[in-house]
Amino acid sequence: MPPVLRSRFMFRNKNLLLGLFGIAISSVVLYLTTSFPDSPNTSLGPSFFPVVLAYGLGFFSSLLVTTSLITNTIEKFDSFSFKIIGIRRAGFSFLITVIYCLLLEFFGFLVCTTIYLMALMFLLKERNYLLMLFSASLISSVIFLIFNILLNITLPLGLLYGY
Amino acid sequence: MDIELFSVSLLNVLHWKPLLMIFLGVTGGIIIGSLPGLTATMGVALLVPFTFGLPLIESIGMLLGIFCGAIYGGSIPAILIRTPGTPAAAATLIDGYPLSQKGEAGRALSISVFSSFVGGLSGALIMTVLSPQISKFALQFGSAEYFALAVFGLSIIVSVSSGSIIKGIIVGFLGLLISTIGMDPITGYPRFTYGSIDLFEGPAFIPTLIGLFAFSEVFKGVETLSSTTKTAKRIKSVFPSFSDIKIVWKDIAKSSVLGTFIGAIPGAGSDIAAFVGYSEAKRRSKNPEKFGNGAIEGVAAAESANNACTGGAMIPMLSLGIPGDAVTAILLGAFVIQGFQPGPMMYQDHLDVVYTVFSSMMVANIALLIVGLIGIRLFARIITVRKSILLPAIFVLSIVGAYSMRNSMFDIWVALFFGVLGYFLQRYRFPVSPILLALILGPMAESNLRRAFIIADDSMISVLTRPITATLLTLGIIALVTAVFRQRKLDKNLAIIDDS
Repeated sequence: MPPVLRSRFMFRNKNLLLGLFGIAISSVVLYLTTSFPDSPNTSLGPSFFPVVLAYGLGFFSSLLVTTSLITNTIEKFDSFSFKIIGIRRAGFSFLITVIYCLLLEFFGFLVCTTIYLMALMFLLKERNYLLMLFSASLISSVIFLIFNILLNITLPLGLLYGY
Repeated sequence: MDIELFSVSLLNVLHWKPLLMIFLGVTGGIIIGSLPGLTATMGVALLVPFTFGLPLIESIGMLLGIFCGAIYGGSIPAILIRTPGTPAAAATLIDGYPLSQKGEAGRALSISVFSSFVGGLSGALIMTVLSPQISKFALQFGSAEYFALAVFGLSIIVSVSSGSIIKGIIVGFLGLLISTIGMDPITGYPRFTYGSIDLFEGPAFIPTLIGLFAFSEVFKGVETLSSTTKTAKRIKSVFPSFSDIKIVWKDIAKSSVLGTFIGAIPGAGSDIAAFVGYSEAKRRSKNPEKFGNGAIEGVAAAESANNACTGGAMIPMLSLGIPGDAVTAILLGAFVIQGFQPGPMMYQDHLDVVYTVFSSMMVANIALLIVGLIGIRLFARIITVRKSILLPAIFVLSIVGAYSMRNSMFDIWVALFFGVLGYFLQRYRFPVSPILLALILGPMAESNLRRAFIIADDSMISVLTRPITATLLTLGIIALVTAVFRQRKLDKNLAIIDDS
């Protein structure tokens, strides 16, 4: 196989890449366990189990690499590209969630969640703004009441209330 | 069995508060199970945080109510819109949907509730009789046997995972590696924590499972957002007729027993039980040609088998501390949060809790019959809820659920991390359940193996050659080897189909 085709084959063969990723994780774990101390009472110290598991992960990841090279057929997966609208939407929902989590403690559950819900609804093509406002306020209030009052689990109240 | 203690437990469960929690759990479970795309595992994962602040008896009742409700709930969209709400309901749609098309949706739904009730109750009764016997046997187990049991449980679960066995094993190892994050169980040395106190106990269980089963699913739901609104069929009757019960009772009885025993095998979930129950009903039927075209026996057999599985799956969880599937793994985690470690010692130290579980399970199935029959029309409407409202609500429930266990923002980040991990694992066809089970079985395997080595003066031979240990490890290897051969055969058959 010419080098150009070979690299294209490697890139398209996701199982090969995932196997290599598994080998990389196992190598990192093996490296990190070298700093673990020995146990005074037994030969099985804190590093024993992670080392065994890292070897296991490395072995089966190598097997995945080998089988994906030997079988010569590439297992097809749904393509993952931000050019695809669904993937972009999922990516944005993740981003909005990260921003929400960062702001949650500062602005409190009720305010933050209502805005967050509306943003997600907008992302999911809801354009009935009245329904968005009503359902977002209702969902955040019900969850707040259930957790804070019925279950006694305090959700962040925000800077407005001092914490 | 201590009948007096059991009666006291049953009476305690019948107090208004635990009873209310069971009914709420069943209702919540049915709602989540009936929403296509939300699995029973996701339902239980989302609703577990609601039980944190409750007393033990109410918490157990609610959890078991959710479990039973969610498994049944999947049959509602399977019958009405040909979309199983949970994988367990996949067999139900084969005959449920044709019945619905004939204008007999109410008949199919009411038999589905009735069969689920009988199946679930039978499973609970068999569990009540069998699990104490298994736990008595498990009392002979020492550290070495527990290590072997954990390895056996994990190998069985990996071997029955859908898709590639190699990928299942890789995910199992990854989960076991994640389980080593935190303090070493013997020496207390912090491993892979980088000085973070939040990681000293490892990634918290509930946020991890919310990430793997709720966040990952909801990201997938956002990606594949469907704009089509499906409408539910009109439902006329909501109670099963005596003539139908007369037709299906034999199938229900057989599927209930089959489902319980299939559920008791670690890894063999309610979806497998439903198909086995369905096939058995078709095999013994005088009119097998009716199956697939709206045979009420098909609905009854599939539903009684998958709900009987709930009781069966509880047997290894309660008596051995080994979860039979992802849902019981979550339940096990919830029990631990309540301060009880399921396993044989629970039958010695907390028999009252064990009996509370038995009686709650039975009452939950009775609640399922009541809520299921009364709410048929309402639940049929829930499946038409707009995704644009439902998915954001699940996002918030997932975040609150992850946060509420320790009031910790760190746990939300853990849930998000595992959500992204779960999303990509599923995208590249890695099974996700082995990670969750590895998080439970990993610490059990490690601490018991190392304890066994200390007791045996570091002699590997004396640890691994103990009769029960050797038997369990051999069975685990056999399960994996059999799975590899089974998959090779399947691949060959697929290749032949492709060629032709």
